[in-house]
Amino acid sequence: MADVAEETAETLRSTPHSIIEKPHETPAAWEPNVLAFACHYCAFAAADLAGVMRLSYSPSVKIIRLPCTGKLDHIHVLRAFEQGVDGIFVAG
Amino acid sequence: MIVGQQKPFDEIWEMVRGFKKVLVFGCNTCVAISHAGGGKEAEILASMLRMKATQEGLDMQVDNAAIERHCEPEFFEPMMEKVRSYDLVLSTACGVGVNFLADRIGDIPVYPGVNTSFYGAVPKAGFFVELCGGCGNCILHLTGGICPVVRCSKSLMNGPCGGTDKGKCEVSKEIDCAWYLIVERMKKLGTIEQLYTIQPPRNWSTGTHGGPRRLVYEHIMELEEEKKG
Amino acid sequence: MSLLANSTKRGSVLIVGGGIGGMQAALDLAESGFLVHLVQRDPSLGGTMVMLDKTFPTGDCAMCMISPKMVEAGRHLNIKIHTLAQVAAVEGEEGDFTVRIKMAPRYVDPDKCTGCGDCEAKCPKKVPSEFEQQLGPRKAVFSLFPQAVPNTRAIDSKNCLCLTDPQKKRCRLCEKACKANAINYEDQGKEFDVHVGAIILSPGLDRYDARVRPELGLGRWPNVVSSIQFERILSASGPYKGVVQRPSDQKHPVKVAWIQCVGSRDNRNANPWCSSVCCMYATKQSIIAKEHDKHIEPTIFYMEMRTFGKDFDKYVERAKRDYGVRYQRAMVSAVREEPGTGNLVMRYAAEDGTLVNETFDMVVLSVGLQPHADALDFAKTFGIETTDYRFPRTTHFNPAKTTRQGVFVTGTYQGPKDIPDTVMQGSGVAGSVMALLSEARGTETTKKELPPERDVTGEAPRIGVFVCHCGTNISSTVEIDQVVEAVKKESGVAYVTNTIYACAQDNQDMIKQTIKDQKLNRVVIASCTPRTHEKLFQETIQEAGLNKYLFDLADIREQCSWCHKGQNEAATKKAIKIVKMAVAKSRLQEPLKSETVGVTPSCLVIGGGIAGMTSALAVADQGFPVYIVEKDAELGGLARNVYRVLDGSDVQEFLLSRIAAVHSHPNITVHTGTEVKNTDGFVGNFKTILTNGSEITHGAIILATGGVEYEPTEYLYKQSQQVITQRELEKKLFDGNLAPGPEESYVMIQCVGSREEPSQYCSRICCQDAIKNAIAIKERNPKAAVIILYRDLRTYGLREDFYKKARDLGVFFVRYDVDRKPVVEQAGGKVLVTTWDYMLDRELQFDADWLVLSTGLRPHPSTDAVGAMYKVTRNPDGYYLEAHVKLRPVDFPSEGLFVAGLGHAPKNLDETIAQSLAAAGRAGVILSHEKLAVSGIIAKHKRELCMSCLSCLRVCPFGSPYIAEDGKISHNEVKCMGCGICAGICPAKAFQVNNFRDDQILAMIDAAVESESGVIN
Repeated sequence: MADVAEETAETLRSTPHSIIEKPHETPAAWEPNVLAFACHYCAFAAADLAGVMRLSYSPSVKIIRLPCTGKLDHIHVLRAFEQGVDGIFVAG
Repeated sequence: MIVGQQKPFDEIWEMVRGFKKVLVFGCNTCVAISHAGGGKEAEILASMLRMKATQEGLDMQVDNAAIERHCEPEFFEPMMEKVRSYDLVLSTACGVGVNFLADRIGDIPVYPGVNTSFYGAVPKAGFFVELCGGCGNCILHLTGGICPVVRCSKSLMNGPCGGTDKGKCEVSKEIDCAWYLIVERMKKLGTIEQLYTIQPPRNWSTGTHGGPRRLVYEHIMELEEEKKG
Repeated sequence: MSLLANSTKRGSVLIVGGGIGGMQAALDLAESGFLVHLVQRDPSLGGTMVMLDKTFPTGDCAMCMISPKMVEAGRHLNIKIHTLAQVAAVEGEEGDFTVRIKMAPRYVDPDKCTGCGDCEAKCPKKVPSEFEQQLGPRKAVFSLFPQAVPNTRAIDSKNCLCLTDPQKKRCRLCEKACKANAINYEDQGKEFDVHVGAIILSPGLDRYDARVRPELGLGRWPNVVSSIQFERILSASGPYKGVVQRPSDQKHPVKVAWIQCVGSRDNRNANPWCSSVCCMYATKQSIIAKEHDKHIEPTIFYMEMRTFGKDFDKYVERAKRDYGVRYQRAMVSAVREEPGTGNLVMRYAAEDGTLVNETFDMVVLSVGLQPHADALDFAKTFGIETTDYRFPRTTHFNPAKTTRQGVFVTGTYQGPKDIPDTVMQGSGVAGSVMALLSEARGTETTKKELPPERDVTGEAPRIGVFVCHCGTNISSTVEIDQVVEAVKKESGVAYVTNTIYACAQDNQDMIKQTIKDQKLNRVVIASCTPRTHEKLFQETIQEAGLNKYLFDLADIREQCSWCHKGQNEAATKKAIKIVKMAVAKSRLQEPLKSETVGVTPSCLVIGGGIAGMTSALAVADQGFPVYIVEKDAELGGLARNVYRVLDGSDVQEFLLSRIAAVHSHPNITVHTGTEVKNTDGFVGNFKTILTNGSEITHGAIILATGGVEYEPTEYLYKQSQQVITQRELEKKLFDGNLAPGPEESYVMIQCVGSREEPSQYCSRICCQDAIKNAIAIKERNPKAAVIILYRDLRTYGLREDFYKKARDLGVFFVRYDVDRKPVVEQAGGKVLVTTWDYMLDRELQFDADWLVLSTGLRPHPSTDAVGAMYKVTRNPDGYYLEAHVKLRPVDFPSEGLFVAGLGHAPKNLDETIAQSLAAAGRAGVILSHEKLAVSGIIAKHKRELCMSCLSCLRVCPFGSPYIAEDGKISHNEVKCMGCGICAGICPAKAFQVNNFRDDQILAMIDAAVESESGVIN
């Protein structure tokens, strides 16, 4: 175990600094813009139930309905990130 | 079929980061089937490069396109003008495609986005396995249809080495011993006696050891020449 | 005369009870041309299943599974739902009954109510919720549960402040809150008659009230809950929102105990039968509790682990291995509260007899099932006989038929059973009714007539957007005017307006008129969820001449206003985004044609055992040609070796009558000594070539390939003449008329070849076989000794009676453990059996004249080949894997294929019959259609882009991509269910799912992130 920990630490030390992204400062009151991809049959139904039960979550979450999360394409995720979405939630 | 695997993203990024205008150019034949370099993967890679550029604050244009095959000129010639408008073509074709395109373009760098892995089969979705080395001197009829050149870790021609162990290879327990498979198969085929014939030292010049290989069908070439007059 | 009688049969059916079984029967019947009256006592459909959190053994969410069925039943044109209703009287006879239905007043007009719930929010009166098992409150005007169908609220007159006031002057807040004017305090309910050809009773069962046994503490100690209360505790939508906590102090319990058999298998103050489901649900609850809170240490106190169903034993093994669930074999005599802590001290006898006190934080009583309190009156209303236990009287070979012709039963009312068996029986009883009323099929159903569709090709999008207030449900949080203004500017939007209730009849008319006036060619409604309202609005635009796929629903209620209450600015901003996303998609929508395919109205049945023959007869009785293909030279299958069932019914007599009926049936062709050589096609259109050269075209296939008995290699079988199997003993007893001698001793060993590797499953029939034979021996010679060595005696359900009978007759039961199996030796003329007795804590030896091995079942050796031919999956034990373990127990993922009998899993004869009728019912649904409509939401394959890499072929769960004659991939759209897994994996992007195309999804993504001016996202 100790060896593994040491190896990990060594890897981190020797990793060029540029690869590790610098954390950005987040402005106060910043809310991540989150896009959810939800399967019609389960996660979308769960999102409905959340509403029925009046559970509260951030209004910055928006949901796109898919017939099945198997339909999700890499490019959907990448496009959203490229457009500036902060997080993606895939549920199905 | 040629099986390829996309290069690690960081390696690709190091290749392309100095360029302003990059075309990620997919090939829709072999490498598309191996989910490495078709139009879809080119689109994904281009998107990831754009994001990386944004993160690093670089002004960089990355587009993507794809054609049926990079290894025949007719497919990319109609696009040549567009291709030439880029500083760099990142081809996600196999090594053949990258070479061929680079030869044709000449004055714009063509870099590889894919490592060309091997000639393989696809026994199930997402699983590719090497079955042929392209050695140019096939002996599958002597070995029960199992190639010792690529399926034996040591490319032995006259039976297994001392490392064979319960049907597995000493290199890894994950690898079947090709000679064990050959013996079992030939027993089934009733051709096991053939194995008593010692194979002479092999002529490797038909493989990659004899310089670049080419294959010429003059009768087909003539037809095209005639048409051109 | 008979012709005349036939011609008066009615094409409608009454179903009493809207739980999962009743709904399944209703949907199957309505889908195959019968009008259904569904009478439900509660204000909503759902029954028991809606109260459950998850289901065993897959852990699927119960509500997620049943909710779409409820919506489907609720919207079905040919299912008339009568809630808060009971049947008052039944007259007439099979084929033509007159049924008087009595509806209690609801005080909410279902024609006006939109289900918005504004009334409920305003109601000041809180009462304990029956649905939440008193653990949470509801209002006096209420909906039974959030997903209730119909969605109409009801007023509980006993608790309503207005209705309990003689002047009806108090409160009336709900009336004021209702913008649809749906509240009617003067509602008197109503009584009316319906005429039906058959009646199906599926009222389900009640739960045992454990307060009858005060020593267990329910209602006395707050941290003792019933198992149904625990379901609600586990439920994410339950009173504790899925947090496992104690009712007394909301503390998270660590040690939780389940006590099994509460109210079951007990003659004193309880019921003598086994409730069949409790062992599994307790296991499930302990697993789910552990998943919710990893600190929980579950212990299940049980007498016998009756996990007899498909993959049930594996589930218990997993509970032990992966979740650390402790199974303690012990009878718990009492539970008392430790003063001050709310903890519970349980006193029980360990197996060796020592008394133990153990403290738990919480105790769950696994309560059993029993007939409703009014079961006898209920039976009297319908004129059917009941058993001593108040269950309807049925027979082993006709489990769905009552003593009155034309009146059927289904589900747990017939006897305790789990969800798949209930669903199976629901389809089975539907199959029986289809056969009974086949000539009246289609005589009473209605079909929606739609105007011709306007051709919109080539037109630029003219989108109409209707933003719904939903009373105040949306408008109190979302500024509707701002949404309307923001959407007006979107390209392609021709018209935007708001509406109080988009779903109310007058507003639907307004929408239709607007489509015409404004020449709209696409419609977006911003209101509630597409899961409940999409079909309604699609119909609306169809009535205005638009293709139904030119519609999109923007959910700004469930997924916006309801979740962001009090955050009006943010919620409005989000609502605008949601509507813009829908508009972005709408712009790219195209009219989709729903293709249809013809149906060959005949059925192929593979296997000519009881399952195959029962299915064949039930399909043939519906008027469809049936072809039976049997491998053996004669019909009969495994049942040829069975003589009696547990209740003494004669199997051979039944079998011969079935064989005769099959041979004499004009619609049935039998091919014996024959197998399927080649098969091709898809639902409605199969083509099969048999090994005898026959070529058959047919619309459905039933796989009834059956099973075989395990041939033992253990316990000296085939080495000693005195070691035989139960089946061999049965033959001696009932065929050879064996008379056991007075001193003869029979030792039986259970679970031979079952419940251990490599066959880690219960064969379900062996306990009953042993008890059946043991009773026969004892009845013929009470002095003969019978000893049964068992692991768990699994006489589930009403079979428990026979276990008791065997004990009363002096059959001796000794439990053994799999780690300490009996040892068998030949000792002269006797077989010496040595076993460990856990009760006496010492070794026992028996000198047996006969050692009888209870051998398990295996799938028929042909199962694998047949499965491969039809591309249906087998589970690790080799049995066919159905489409869904709970709700589609006789279907396969590929449409048009069904399963019945032992090929699916080990089961008893009555269960095989029920499943075979179910397969026939499900097949009947398909065969009764002249044409099958293919959904518009399917994957479209562009062959010119495809490179035939086979990724789609390999991952499609429905087998719709195939290698065509030219050697390249093609796509059969009839089989496609539109999941889009092909589109996700295709490296050539040759697949796109209609209405979920990549360009549409990308447009939605762009709209979702597009920043409003001056606002940084």
